[in-house]
Amino acid sequence: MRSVPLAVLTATLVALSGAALAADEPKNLVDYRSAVMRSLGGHAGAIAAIVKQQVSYDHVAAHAEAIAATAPAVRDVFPENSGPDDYAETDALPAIWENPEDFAEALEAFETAAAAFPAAAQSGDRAQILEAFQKLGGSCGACHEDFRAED
Amino acid sequence: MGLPARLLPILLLLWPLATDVAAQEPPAEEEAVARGRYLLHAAGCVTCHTAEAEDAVPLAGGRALQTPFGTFRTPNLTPDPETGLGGWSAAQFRAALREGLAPDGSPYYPAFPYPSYAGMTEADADDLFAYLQSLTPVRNAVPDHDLDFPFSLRPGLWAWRWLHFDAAPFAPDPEQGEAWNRGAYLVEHLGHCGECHTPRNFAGATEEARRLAGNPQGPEGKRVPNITPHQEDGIGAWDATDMTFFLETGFLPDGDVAGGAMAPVIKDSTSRLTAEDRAAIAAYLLALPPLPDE
Repeated sequence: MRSVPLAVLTATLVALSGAALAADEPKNLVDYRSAVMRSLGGHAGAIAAIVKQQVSYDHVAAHAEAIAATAPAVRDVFPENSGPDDYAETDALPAIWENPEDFAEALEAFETAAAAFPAAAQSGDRAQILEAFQKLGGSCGACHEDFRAED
Repeated sequence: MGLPARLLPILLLLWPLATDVAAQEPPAEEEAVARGRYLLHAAGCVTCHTAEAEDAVPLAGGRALQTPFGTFRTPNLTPDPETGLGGWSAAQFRAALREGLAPDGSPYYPAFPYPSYAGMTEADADDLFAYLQSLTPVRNAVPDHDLDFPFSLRPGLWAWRWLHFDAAPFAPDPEQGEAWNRGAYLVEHLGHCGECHTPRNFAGATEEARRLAGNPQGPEGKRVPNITPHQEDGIGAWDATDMTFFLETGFLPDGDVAGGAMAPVIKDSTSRLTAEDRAAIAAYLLALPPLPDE
């Protein structure tokens, strides 16, 4: 990495992200967003299977870290041109863009719960994991309740 | 506390006596209140009887329920003498809960799930009343319901009751085990699951042949899922652990989280039950006849 000056690297990244945004069609934004949300749900489902003791893998911490690492990306994946008026297949409700403050608050609760989760996961204590997982699930559900369409 | 200082020595003298008496006699009232607090969660009272505002006092009423018949507003259950249940007797409370009748003898609208609560035991109704009466009274005058004609005419409810209301108390099935019977009591009566998960006919009565098979037009016009163990349309792919974990945490087996009207039910009701009661609910639901969606 030393051979690439930081300024050049930054400029390249900015140029890349600018180019990416220009090409972002509503359908692609929604598809990407669905993939991000499904990845969170996938890790949560994997944790649930372990916590329920339906499988005996020792992977809770890895899934918890994946969720914590992905959580801050969620606030980025709801740009203006990705609502149901732009692409009907999305389950995102117009309330996201109509009540941005409420949405930001719900996202913040989720990010906080996700950031706290790996520490609980590493404790190895089932009660502690379950409590943190429930808090995380509560933050997912609270946001879905107001901002995601049913089905 | 505002106790006059000169009373303090007297109180201190009496104190050992008082604690001795308390130790000898079981605090029956306190036990009833504790059981009632648990029943409050099992019967899912909090969600509907608490207003939407974040600082709303629990159980002081005022939530607006939008239905095809108009807007219902939930009453204040705290023991305020004028706006709540302050002047009520246990018998009046039982009549409200199990027969759907107000203290003045007028019928309640079945938005209040008394057709489910009708099966509640007398002892449970009394414990619930003891708990509600132990709350701090909150003055909150809730405005009247705002219903469309002809539903605004309360006497029509007598006809509705005659056609649709069965006041039979819960009768355990001796052919079934203890868990199944406890689950039946929790699901069908206290938890009143069918109020949302069973479809309703044009008169707003639940369709018994489609019991718990989902409601395409649930609260706020949203679809409510089929919770019979049908393989494709219901919860047939779930095992008992999936079920109890869902009731405890809100996580579905695929990692998604319950939203909509079920989120507050998990938070205020099913997550607060004992593991045994959640297991009983699972045992009952998984033994239901599997019904496909219509």
